Amino acid sequence: MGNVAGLDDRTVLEVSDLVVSFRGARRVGLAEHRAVRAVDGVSLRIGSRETLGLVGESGSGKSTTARAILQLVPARSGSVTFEGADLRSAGRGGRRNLRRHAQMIFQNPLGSLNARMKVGSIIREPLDIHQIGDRPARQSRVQELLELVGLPADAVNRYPHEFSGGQQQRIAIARALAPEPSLIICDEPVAALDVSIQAQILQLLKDLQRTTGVSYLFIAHDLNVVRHVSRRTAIMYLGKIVEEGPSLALFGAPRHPYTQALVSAIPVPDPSAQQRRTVLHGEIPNPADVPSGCRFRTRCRYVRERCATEEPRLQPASDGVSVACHFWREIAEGSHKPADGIPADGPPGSA
Amino acid sequence: MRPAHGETAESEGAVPSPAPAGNDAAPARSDADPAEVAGMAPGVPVASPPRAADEPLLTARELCVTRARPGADDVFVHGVCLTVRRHQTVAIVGESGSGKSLTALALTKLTPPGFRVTAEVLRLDDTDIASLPESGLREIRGRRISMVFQNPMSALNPVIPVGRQITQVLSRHKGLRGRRARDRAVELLNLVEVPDPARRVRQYPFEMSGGMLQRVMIAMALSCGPDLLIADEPTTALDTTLQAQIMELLRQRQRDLGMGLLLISHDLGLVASEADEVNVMYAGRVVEHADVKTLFESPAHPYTRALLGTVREIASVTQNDLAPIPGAPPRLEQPPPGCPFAPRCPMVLDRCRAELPELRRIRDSQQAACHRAGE
Repeated sequence: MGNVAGLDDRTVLEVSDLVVSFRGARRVGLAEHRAVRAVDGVSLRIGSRETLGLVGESGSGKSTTARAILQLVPARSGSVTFEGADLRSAGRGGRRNLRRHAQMIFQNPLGSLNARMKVGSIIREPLDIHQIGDRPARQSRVQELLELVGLPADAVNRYPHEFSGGQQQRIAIARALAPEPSLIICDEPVAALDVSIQAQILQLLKDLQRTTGVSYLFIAHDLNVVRHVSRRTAIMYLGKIVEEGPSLALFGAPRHPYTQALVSAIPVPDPSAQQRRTVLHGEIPNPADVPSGCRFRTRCRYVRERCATEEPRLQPASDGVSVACHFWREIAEGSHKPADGIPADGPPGSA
Repeated sequence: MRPAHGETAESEGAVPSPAPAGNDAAPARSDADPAEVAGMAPGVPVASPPRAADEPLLTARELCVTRARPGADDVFVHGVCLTVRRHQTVAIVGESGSGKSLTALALTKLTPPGFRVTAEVLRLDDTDIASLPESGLREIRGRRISMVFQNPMSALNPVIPVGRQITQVLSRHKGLRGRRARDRAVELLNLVEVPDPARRVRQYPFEMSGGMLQRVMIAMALSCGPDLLIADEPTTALDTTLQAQIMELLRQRQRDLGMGLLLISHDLGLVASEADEVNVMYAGRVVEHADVKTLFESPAHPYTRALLGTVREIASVTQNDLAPIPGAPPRLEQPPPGCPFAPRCPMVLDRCRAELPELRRIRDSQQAACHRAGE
């Protein structure tokens, strides 16, 4: 990719052709196990101080991508390069660096905080594990972090359940920041929070990026939120990235029919906005049984025969955006009309 | 609201149904075929006569939900007033802990044990819900007022096939059994666009996706052709593309059945596109009520204004810094004295901390509970 590389734009994370597969569940009457390729050839790049948004429906593989980056699930193939070191060949030292400098925050803060540990110990734990500083230094670092995320100093001696959802997310952020990471993977960090609290956490994440220079991989299904925080955005569908590029260009004029449907479904807080919705029919197909050719073709308004036989590759389109669709140019020009009715869902490869 | 109708609650079955005059008054049970009506158990009251669309279907006045405690009772919902008409979508918007879901549950007295529901007026058409005994409430729930919840996985019974969960409702309220009930369940799933419904009825909830389960919930909620559908965050657990599908489905069925729809949501974007009227709740009170256009064009309460501002900032194309509302909502059982929003309000006066503002008229279609609204 490398389409928006600035001069001193250091690459923090580079993922290329990442594939993660799981063995499919054994079905009665089926002899073979079908492997589920949850992530099927994903490439991403995140620069220093950059936020990359990763969007997709449930089942699209976005969380699995995050887990594979952090080596929490094994990748079948492809490479993950973190701070210049390829993690396949980096050995223990490289993985240790990853564990320290790549952190994660989750959707449900309470579920990710140990209910039996006091907040002070929770935030100090990464410092203990990575042996950063001596005891007094760690204590003062904890106080500093609490202040940074806007929590009272007396929080150290309290338990997570004593805090509201928004404050719990602040605790999780403080813990993630403790070992001074260069990358934080945020997996739906505000989805469980109320609107007014969402705004507080989003602004906190932005402020922290400014002060610490941390990069974010920001995973969310709320397109408004992603558009707000991400300089670049990647759209995932069924294990593949179908469109990627600068957020402004991507959301301003979506090229892929899937992105178009997603963007048209964004609720607009204005009753007089007569939205022309592209309601997407059906649901995301079973990842164990992906359609041949283009994976989106079973729900695509613009489907043609070619889509069933030939898989479109992600390639540069315009304004720094890459798109995986045979007909994006014709669709943009309006010369490619939607197919009549709902696309037929024939057996894979039958066309 | 109209005391003259107050005593007719239990006798609605005996009221002869005059032909509806209003063109909007679609028969409430347009889906009922004669065979079904014939199959109904004797004594089950038939539908109340359809009314003109502008007459209130649901009226709640001074609805309160309290929980007894030694000393003083905790009040969770403070004197909420609501009106929903046929074909109308009324929204209750609020953040978690605002009391919006409790208000919805209180309408059919489904609040958890220990909570008490009181109201000056609580009626559905001619039925006085406030004075109904539990047996009467059971006749209303699921038949005339039904609900769709946020999480279909926990609202459905995990060990019963979805088809049987639908036929249970049909058997309870419509006296349909056996083959006939099963056929109707398949038909209902077909109506909510579940593919291959004949196979799906035999499946268990875990075998279906979240979007499919929500369709099953809706099929079940609509199975008796309710007058009022209460949808509590019906699409919050779903992906954006499914949200559009489900809301389209609800709109369509509302049109067909002439239902009133009470939409409970935290999502102002959803409310903007779906609702006719909006109630904004904060700390157990309705702090603003307006028609949707007025609310979004000129919100009167500082809370509504702040919330709307935040949502618009996030939704805007620019990536400017946000100005979030500071702090968090108060706990329902420990409201601050005076206006509950005062501790977070940018326009706060000394008066606000001492004196609770009443909901008052700002303009024709708008009421707000703020001392400074309309300034």
